[in-house]
Amino acid sequence: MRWAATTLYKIYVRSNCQTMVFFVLLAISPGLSAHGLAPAHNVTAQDEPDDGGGVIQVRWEISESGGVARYEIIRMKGAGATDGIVVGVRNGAQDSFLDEGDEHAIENDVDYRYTVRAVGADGETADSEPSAQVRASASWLDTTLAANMVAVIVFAAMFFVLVMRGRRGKPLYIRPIDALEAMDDAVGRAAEMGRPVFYAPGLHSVTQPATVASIGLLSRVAEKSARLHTRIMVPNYDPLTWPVAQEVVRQSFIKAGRQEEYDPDDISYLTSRSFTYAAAVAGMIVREKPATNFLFGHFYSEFLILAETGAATGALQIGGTDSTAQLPFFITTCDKTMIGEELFAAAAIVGDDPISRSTVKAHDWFKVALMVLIPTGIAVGMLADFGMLEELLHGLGVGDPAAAASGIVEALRGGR
Amino acid sequence: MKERLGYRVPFVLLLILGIFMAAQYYIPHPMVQKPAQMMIQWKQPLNAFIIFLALFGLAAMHVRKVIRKQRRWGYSVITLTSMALMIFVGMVWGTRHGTIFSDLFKHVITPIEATMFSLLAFFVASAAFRAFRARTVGATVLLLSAVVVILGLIPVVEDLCPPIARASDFLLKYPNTAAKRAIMIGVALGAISVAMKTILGIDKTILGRDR
Repeated sequence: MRWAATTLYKIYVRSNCQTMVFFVLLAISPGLSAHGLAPAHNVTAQDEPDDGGGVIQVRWEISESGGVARYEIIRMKGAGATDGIVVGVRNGAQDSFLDEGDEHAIENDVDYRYTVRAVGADGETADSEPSAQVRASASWLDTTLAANMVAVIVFAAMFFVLVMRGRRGKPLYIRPIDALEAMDDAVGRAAEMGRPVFYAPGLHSVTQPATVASIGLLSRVAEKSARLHTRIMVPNYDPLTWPVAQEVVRQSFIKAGRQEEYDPDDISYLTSRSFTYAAAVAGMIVREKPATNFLFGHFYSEFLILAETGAATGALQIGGTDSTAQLPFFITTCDKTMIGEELFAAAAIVGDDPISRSTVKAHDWFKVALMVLIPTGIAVGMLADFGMLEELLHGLGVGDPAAAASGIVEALRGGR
Repeated sequence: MKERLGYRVPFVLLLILGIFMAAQYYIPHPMVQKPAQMMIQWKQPLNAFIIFLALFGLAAMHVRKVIRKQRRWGYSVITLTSMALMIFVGMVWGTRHGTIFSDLFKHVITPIEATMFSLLAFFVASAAFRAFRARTVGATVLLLSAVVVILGLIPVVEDLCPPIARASDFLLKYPNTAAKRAIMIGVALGAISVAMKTILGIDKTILGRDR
């Protein structure tokens, strides 16, 4: 006390009047705020939709008195509970909190209420009225994905219709793919030159669609190589793709009646580090000098090392990928390239199976639907932006054109 | 009968689990999400087992090469020695930061990989040289577009010749993005199609079987 009085006296002596006024205000401020801190009001709590439960959104209107340093969000379990736990803190300007139950989990289908406690700079508190009861619940459908789901269902419907047509043996025209047509000749070239065929199935696992498509093409290349007594080398990056590639090549050699020529060491696992793989494969290409390189699947930046090494050794190169980042390098370095979807289409039509071929038609049908839908969506969006959509709907006799227009715009944006 | 059962059981499992995993994307309910997450976690021990299997296969291949004294069997000796060394130091002194394993990795593997990565700069130049020869109308358009984009990305060009910078920006923002999106839509449809063919057993390549 004596120390405080001495300090105040020193400040009074050494500083001007304003400093003293400041300290006086500071000293009496708790007394002022004790009568002035108003609580937050209109606290509402509602279950977060489209989730697995356990999440509640709390909102409030901020204190009218101001001077709030922070809000503490208190969750109370049960209808009549008055005590709760602090589940979150927000600063004085914020008016919402998403309670995800990080430290204290929220049970689904249990009643909760929320209170928001305003805390002043001096630690004084003012509690709001509790919110109405709320229950977190788990949804059985994420409606934010409705547009996505409808698109998949439409695509699946087209797929099944065309598979049924394929089963009936109805002929379907599919545009020839240059790179696919050139595959047999490329293997023939290797046979004539007495050099091996090289096949890289990409860097993704066999659980990825591009690798599945690549393995489908591998069976064709391996069978052709076996028929022409040509060695095929398949170095693998992914340990899961390796046994599948081995089995596919073995089956292809059996199908071609050349089982004795199959060498499992030619279908090897190398490494799962991309640039180490690139170094190993580039070395193999330089040493073995394959006549033809097939590069089908998903690749990353190491692709250019493989393809440029192949080009330097004079190999004929045929490639295909679903990686848009690597496509320019494929087009630059390969003699024939399957661009994106062509890789999947080639894998479907390579076996001459009518059912498999018919699935390619599903892509085409859906693409036609998209070609109609995308410009339509753009046109409707532009009409909405210029405020003409409501007028148009009104002119068409729609009951509530404003609501209908807003619903259409929401649907276009992929919302609920 | 045994062989048919051997192929049918995996396909029945594939059908059930494939449909389940596709459906779980749209269903956030814990009754669906919990088993889905559990199945995703099963991949980790399976992956560890698969890597072990792959390494065993790699070692067996090189051992065969050495025993048979096949062409360039010396490389196989180096590979086997390196594998044995890394396994030994990793098992004896651990793999954490500061151990011999970590040092070998940091001072041998990393520089080698960095060297390979740096080669890309030269390969990009040689590939670009081949691609940008104006032999056809298409190749000429490609060459001109590439020149505009390259120039537009040079900071000083933005001050000296703003139209080139704007043209470069336009090419990247509109024709390039539109083409990329078109390819991505096609790829997505192809991927869905491959997944459906695999789940329905139309495409059997995933089990190493010819179609």
